[in-house]
Amino acid sequence: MNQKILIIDDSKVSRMMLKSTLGKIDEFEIIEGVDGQDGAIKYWEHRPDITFMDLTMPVMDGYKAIELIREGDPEAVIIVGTADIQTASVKRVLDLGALTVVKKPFQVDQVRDALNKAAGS
Amino acid sequence: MNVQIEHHHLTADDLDLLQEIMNIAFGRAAADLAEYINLFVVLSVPQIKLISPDKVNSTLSNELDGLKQNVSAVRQEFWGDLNGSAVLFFPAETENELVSIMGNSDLDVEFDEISTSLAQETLMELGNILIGACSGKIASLLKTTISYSPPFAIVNTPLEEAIEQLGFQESDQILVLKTNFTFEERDLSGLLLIAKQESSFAWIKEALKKLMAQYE
Repeated sequence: MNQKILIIDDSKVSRMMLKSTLGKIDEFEIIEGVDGQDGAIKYWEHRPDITFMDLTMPVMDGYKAIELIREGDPEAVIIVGTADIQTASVKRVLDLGALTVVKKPFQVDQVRDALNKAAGS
Repeated sequence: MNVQIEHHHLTADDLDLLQEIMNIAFGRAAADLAEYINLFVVLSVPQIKLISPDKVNSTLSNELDGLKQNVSAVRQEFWGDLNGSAVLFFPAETENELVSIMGNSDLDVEFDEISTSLAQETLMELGNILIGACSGKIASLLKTTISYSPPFAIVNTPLEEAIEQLGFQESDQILVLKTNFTFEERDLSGLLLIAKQESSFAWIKEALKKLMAQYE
């Protein structure tokens, strides 16, 4: 059965780019959330194997969404996909329990590495 | 999605993609700046807007309404396949904070003692990092290179006068990319506008098409 991946990002273009990148790696069942709040709701509805999370989003940002999801499910596998690659941002999301950070724009090799890391987690 | 459309030749999809490019570019620029000043830079969701020629100054006044009456700003023009200018705005009377953030705190002077020329130098240094990194990343994502004019800074000037001095042309439709940013642990936030001239739109459309082809 294909892995279920939840993509949480307010940018339609960014979600499309990630879907396209994932499609070059394997077949996945993709679910989409349009901001942190919507993404957290979708997480509990669908219980994905892996969640890709943007950070800078309206309504609820990615930091809060990671906190919310990991609070309810400490085993949640969250990969942060972001343009905000400040050292402090990366440290903060890892402290919140994210598995790893992939920088935008998404590249096949980096996304594949993150998925491999998720498989080994 | 914070996209507003007036009359233009760029589609809503083009603007969505440009907004994401701005998001990536500003993320990289903030990382460069954060490393330099050793402070976390909090980013907002970027906004994108096309402004028709007769509304350039009035729209900018509205966009900048959140800032105080007087502003300090630095502007740099860029040209190549992409033509336009980038302007970094701060509320006036934040010059002392800026000088301190940019590593000149050892001067240990009160705001009144900070000369206009030191404030201008600081603004130009900050603008060079933020504008260069942001515009440069946009150009790099669109597979081109741009050249820059020397930065031009104004300090503690009424908003309307500042917009006039910064010289936005009312003869051209412009595409404005806007981001708010805040320096953590400092009471200081500013606004970055990147305006691209209409003469670049055809090239931008083509570059976006090529970029998206990588993801098809």
